[in-house]
Amino acid sequence: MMFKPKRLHPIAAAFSFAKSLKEWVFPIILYFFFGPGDGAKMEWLYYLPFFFIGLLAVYGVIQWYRFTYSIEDEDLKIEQGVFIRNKRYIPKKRIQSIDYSEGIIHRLFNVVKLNIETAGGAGRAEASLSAVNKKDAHLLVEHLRQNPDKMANAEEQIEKEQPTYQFKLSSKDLWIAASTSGGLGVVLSIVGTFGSQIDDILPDDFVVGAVEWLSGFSWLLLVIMGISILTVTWLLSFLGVILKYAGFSIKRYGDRIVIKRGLLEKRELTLPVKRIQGVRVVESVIRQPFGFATVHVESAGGTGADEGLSAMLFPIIKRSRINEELTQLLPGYFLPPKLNTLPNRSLKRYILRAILPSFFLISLFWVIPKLWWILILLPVIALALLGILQFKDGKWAVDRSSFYLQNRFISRSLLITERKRMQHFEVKQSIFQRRTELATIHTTVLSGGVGRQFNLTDTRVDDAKTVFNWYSRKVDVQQD
Amino acid sequence: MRQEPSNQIDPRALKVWKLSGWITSSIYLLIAIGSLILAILTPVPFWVSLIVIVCALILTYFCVVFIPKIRFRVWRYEIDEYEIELKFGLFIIRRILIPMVRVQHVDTKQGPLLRRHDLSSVTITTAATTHEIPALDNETANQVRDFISQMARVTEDDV
Repeated sequence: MMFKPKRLHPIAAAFSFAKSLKEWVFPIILYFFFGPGDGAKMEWLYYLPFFFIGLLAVYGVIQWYRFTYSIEDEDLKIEQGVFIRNKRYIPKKRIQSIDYSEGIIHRLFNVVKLNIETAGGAGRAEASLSAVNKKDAHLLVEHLRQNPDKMANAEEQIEKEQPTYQFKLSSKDLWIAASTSGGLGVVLSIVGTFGSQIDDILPDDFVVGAVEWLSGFSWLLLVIMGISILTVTWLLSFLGVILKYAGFSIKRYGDRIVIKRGLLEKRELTLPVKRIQGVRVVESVIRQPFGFATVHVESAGGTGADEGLSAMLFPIIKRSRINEELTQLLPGYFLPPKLNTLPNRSLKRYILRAILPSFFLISLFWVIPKLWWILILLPVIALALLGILQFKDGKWAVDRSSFYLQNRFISRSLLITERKRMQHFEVKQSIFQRRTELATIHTTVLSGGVGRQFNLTDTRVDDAKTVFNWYSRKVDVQQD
Repeated sequence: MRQEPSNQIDPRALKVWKLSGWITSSIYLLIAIGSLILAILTPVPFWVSLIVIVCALILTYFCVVFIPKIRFRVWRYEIDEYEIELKFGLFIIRRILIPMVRVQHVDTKQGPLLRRHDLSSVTITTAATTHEIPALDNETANQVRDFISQMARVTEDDV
């Protein structure tokens, strides 16, 4: 199947111009500020930046002109480069995933961006076509998907039309997801770090002045301000989730999963089932009491940039419904009926570990007036409670082919992975653990080209041994 | 867990680790000497220097004697056609199992210290992790490397 060399949509020239402008924006602004000096004779120097920007625009157009893509025999061929010409051949067979995305500008011009991924190359797309009109994109993807071995296979074609499984996020669920988004914590921490940076940016007097200004207000006013800041950050994360997951749908066609999502920027991600390394069920503290969870997938390769790493299978789902949906989408993956718990003797260690960071607060005991002790004790108690939860939620299980590991940092997270997907298995034991016959179990699962680590601290040594033997191939051989 | 992995690493590892222990602790010793000079030449009290010297000596003992000894005593490995098993650690003992199907590649490496004693280290890389057997004599290291790379090649599987 041949496919004549084609250029991208001309808007691609604008994209590459915008990209190079972004790279140069700082030097240009600096030039405007510090300028060429006051030499009146050198007036033309003032126009230099404009000239330069013009040059970048021309460069963008040439880049667009030089960029062509085509299909030659079994390869996707991409030619590009202005000063250095570059030809890249990507064998069709090696292509792991193709994803679409559409920004607002893309949608104005009815074009899409295509990212084409092969195995390896953590993170960066192997080939990225910044603007292809939709008809061409579908044509190209059709061509790329046609595996030479399967060309004649008509069933494959029908499969493409009819998904074997599909799930759409209802608008009610979207609202629930948005209003319980854990993004709150993220936004808070961003505000927090920004706040700590302010110190360096603003003059010293300002901070002191601001504190004085603030302490002028009553407690009530401060509380109101705090609440309104929280509300604003909550609204931001609410909007973020709506923008990201509106129109979310997941479909399974044969051996791949197609995820579509996005309100302003539409994205479509294709995951080969073969590449899936594991599934993670995450229950944030806000969602868990209502019985809601999110389900992520760990996949090898894929766009590390933001999503392929651990794409969302179900942005929000009732925990009780997970098995029903998951076993249809990915047979073999399910929440196990029973997980093994940690021994009671680890509880002490969990609590101790959790409150450890607050020890420096305890040292303040001697310094501060007595009434304030309460304020210090509160975080210690909160951390101790977290420790108890971490202990209660630390669980594991194995069955014939799968490994399950649940733990909690703040959110509760359950990993489901197959034995053949585990990169290694490790049992760790510190000298303190040895005394109490406890051990830490550890494994690594491939996720977007890098490893993601999973730990469960303070299991029984015997349990750790059980999993170790289960993981060992030697046992298989003996059984055979 | 069934028995411990059986093979120890080469005893000359002890010498190499001791030597590199001396190199690290030379910094502590230099600081100790510096504090002594400071105590003699300036009004810095002598006991300050004494504390520094004692700390430096303890650290040196740890780097040169204690840590190499324990590390060597703990290190075990075992390799068969299905998997690689490692056991090592100082205060935390780690026991690692790497299935052959997961091995992506395997190298032998030799720094200047190892070369002086005709030793090599073997590095085993999976798609997500890297593991090292620190000091084997050259011939064993080469055998181990060749064996693993052969076995890894035989057992083809999905990533």
